[in-house]
Amino acid sequence: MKKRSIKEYYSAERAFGIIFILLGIAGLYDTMYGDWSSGPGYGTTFFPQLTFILLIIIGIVFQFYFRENKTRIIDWMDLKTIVMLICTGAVYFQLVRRIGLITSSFLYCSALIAMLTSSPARNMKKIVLPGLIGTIIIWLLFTKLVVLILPRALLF
Amino acid sequence: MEFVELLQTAMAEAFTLGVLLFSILGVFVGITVGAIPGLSGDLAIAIILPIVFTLSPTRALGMLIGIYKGSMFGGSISAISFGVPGTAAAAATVEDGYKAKKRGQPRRALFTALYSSVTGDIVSSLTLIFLALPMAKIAIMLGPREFFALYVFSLMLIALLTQGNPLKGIGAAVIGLLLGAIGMDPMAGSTRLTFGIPVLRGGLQLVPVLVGIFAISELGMQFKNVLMKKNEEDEASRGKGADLGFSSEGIMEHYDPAKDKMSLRIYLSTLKATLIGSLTGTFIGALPGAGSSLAGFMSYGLGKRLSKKSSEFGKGSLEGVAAPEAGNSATCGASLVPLFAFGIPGSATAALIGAALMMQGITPGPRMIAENAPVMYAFFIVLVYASFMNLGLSHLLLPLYAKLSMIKTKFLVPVVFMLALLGTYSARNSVFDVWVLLTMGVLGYILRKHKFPLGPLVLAFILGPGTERSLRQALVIGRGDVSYLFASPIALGFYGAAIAFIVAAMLAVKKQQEKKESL
Repeated sequence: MKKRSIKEYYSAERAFGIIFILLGIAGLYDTMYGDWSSGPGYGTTFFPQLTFILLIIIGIVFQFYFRENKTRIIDWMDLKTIVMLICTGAVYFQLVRRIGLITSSFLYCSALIAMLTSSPARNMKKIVLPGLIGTIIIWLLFTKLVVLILPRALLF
Repeated sequence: MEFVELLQTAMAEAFTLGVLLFSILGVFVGITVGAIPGLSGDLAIAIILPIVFTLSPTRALGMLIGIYKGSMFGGSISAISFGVPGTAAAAATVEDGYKAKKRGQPRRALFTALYSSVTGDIVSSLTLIFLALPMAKIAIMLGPREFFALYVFSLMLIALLTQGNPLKGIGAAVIGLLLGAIGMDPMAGSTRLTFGIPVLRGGLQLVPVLVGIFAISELGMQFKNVLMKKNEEDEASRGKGADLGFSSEGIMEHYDPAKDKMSLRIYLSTLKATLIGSLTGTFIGALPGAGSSLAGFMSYGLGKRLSKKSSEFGKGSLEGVAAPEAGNSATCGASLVPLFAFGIPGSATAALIGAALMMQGITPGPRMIAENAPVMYAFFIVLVYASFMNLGLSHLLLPLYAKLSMIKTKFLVPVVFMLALLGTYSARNSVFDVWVLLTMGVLGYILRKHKFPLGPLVLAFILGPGTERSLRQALVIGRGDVSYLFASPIALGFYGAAIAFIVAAMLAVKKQQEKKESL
């Protein structure tokens, strides 16, 4: 019989199962020995304990049920997506607070569209115009409909 | 307040210019986002949610319900026009809708979808109006142990009935319960799972969790798809040149507009399928967890089985368009029944509407209609006329929607992402909420990638505190005796039903596995 490597054996779901089990054990440990004010009878810890036990059970069931899927939890493309979308989003939010809503919205929108447009189709009109429309939508919504309270910024 | 007086107040409120305008805007936005593949009503409601708290309750609800209804029909526009369902709910419509279009009947297919969608929607709205109040009266009589059993039953149903693997549904629900347990204990008021972070004492806020899990994760997936497509196009342009033209697959042959006119006779010929879809969708919609997509497929299956022309299904049959469209739209009102009667949202969209109600100071549950009668009655009126707005707007603007559905995702992702970020921040002016939003976005993205259903996670997050409260209240009443939880026939009924559902789901999974192995 061919011996299977660990990489072959562990599907993404099984890895999720392991995470569930570890999280459940850590949580249970924390409810028992952590800084919790349990109170009399079925106190504060009761429901979280039940949930952690359920999490461990689900993790164990995952180990038996999922055997086939070989996909990784996160691949290179996912990492790129998370970094590009989520991190640039965080940067955009900080820019809004520091250099202003209109400037940062226009820069962010145009930059992201440029990033997502393939090189043969990329030209200034196709990047600047949607960026401008996007900025107008944001400006109208957050200054006319909802008044967004922001700290005083460097620009506008 | 007398009923007539109440109705007059509600009518006056529902027909104010502001409510009418926001409802029309909602329907327009709903049809548009529904028509654009990749965007959905859930996503639009999640994005709009932090913004609508500035509106009056009726205007806010009018806009949200408009989006909900509009998106249900909107999904069929791209399904019929391009063979790409705009929303998951419209997946069953592709089967016959796209083939009807290719057979030279795009207009008939689109209008059949519209009329059956509106019919299903009205049946469902009336069910909500006439069922919610009597059910709420029954719910008032339930005690904590019955409510706990109802919560357990609902959570099980939510986890098992969502599309995909039921085990993953249960896993997602448990994560949701854990997220809901962060912060203040609902009974004793002591803090837990805060890891020493003071802002977590109040727990995770609903808006960043909902928007992060639903909207940011979906945007992440869209972003990844666009990025991959862009890379492919870059590769192709480096080689023999990019093929950015249209494929000829969707082009109709021998199109004759004279043979593609819609009439009352055609509508009546699909009425049986429409009614089958409406009733199936209403029933499925009222079950917690069973979504519009399931309703669409079940309605299609039933419509086919009960049709005299079942052999035409799958070949461009208009009945095959009417049944799933009526089915998915009929979940709109019905999915709000458990929310209005018991405070338990039946679907992800109902959870979002429940969140909007809470932001307006209205707590969903058995006492909601009685305590907020003028607003709720006005909402019922809006619920009905929004269906007619959907009909009117779609009639007028169908060609425009078909064009809007072709807007490329790369232009939408940045704008929708900015809306989500700023909308979440504006709800409480909290920077911490923005970090929660992004974290939930990453969590949702990873779970979505591995086909964990996100509905159970969000619904469990919302239901968690209520479940814990009723469990602990019941245990206090029973003086700590666990057997007290089972000493009620109603509670036992709910537990029995939950067990029956688990067994049925496990058998279905086993059967599926055996089928897979035999292939």
